[in-house]
Amino acid sequence: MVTWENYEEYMMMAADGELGEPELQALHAFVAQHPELKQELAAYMATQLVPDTELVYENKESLMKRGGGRTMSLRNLWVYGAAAAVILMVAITITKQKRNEEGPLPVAHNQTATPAPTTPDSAEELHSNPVNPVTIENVATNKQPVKEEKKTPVIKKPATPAPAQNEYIAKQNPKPAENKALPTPQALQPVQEQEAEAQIAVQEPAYTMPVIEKPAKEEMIASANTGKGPKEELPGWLPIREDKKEGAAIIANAVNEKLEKVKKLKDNFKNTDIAFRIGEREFIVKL
Amino acid sequence: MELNEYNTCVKEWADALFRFACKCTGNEEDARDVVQNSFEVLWQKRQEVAADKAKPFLFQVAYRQSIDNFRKQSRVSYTEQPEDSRSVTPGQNDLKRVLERALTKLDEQARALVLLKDYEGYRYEEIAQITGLNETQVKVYLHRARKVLKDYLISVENII
Repeated sequence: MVTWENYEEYMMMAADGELGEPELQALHAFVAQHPELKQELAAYMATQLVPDTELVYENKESLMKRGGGRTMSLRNLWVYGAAAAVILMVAITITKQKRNEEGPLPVAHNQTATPAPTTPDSAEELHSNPVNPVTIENVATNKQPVKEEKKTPVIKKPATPAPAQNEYIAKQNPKPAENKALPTPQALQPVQEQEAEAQIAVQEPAYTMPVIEKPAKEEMIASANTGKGPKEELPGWLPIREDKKEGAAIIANAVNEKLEKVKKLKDNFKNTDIAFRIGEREFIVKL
Repeated sequence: MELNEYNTCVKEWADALFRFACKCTGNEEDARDVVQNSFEVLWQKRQEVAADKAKPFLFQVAYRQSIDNFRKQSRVSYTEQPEDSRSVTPGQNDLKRVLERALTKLDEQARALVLLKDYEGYRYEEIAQITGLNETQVKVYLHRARKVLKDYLISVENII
């Protein structure tokens, strides 16, 4: 309730805009009852300041901030990934090429319990070419005592794998004049094995081993080096059945074709530079 | 507060803050510095200040800086006009100019309270949060300021 004691506070609160509608009406009613207070109320209401809208802060853009966060687009990541893949591929290719230049690829071969009766020098030559007939001959030579072991009922070698039932074993014509340095398999076998071998010979008199005319060692080496050897057809002395000879010849030809392709690829790489681009930079690798 | 919200605050409140600082410091250059510092503080504390609390935060910083600036430098450029009522002629009805002159009668704190109340329309409670005073103090200081302003206006009764 507005009284003479608090009317001034009501007027100040009215100037501050803090009075509710009922209180404001009560104040106006009190002033209406006392018209001498009209001027005072008008003076209080006139103390309300009005913002000077002409006063503005110029160049607000100087206060604004712009995005400064560092962003990396996914597209750049793909570019870097592709560049890394290209570099890796080139590095692998160069490494393989250097290996080919340094020497022939090592060829894995089976190691049986009975060691191959070859000299170290001849062994390197034999493993250099996968279709080298000498290698196949070596395998055949190694398999000969294995088959005999299987048929030997008395002595067993657990480390020796059992050969296939219908496997044909090549029988070499003994050439003591050429293989003087090599110990014969018979010399390496113990006496018991020789006795068992004799028993097998007695038990299977009808079995006839194919006779293979082995070419001279010098001829084989020469044909392997020149590459003019019998690529298209397999040598006749190989211990392969007639019905499988055709398939083996196809495989040998395919391997030879692959070797030729690798050689061509190698020659091409020698005369070719590899260029690739990362972003705006271009890199050239001279081979 | 995100970047775009901050820039929106600049667009919406830079002018109001500048007017407030101008009336508090009485100097446009000082007011410009106050505005720049206030927005810089807001940017630095944007992670802690919500977008809807940005305006009172800005005025709080500007109020403190204006008061400090006023007290340290005492460079109030208000030129008090002579209180001779004869300077106001009967035909002179420029209430706005008279009120600005009346503001010079107030101390820096009371002037800031009136500006926050009339320019920005803050309630007692909000002004208390900005200035660090309690609500009763705000009310008392404001009423004192109103009385000074009213007395000045009544003394120039020809205007009213």
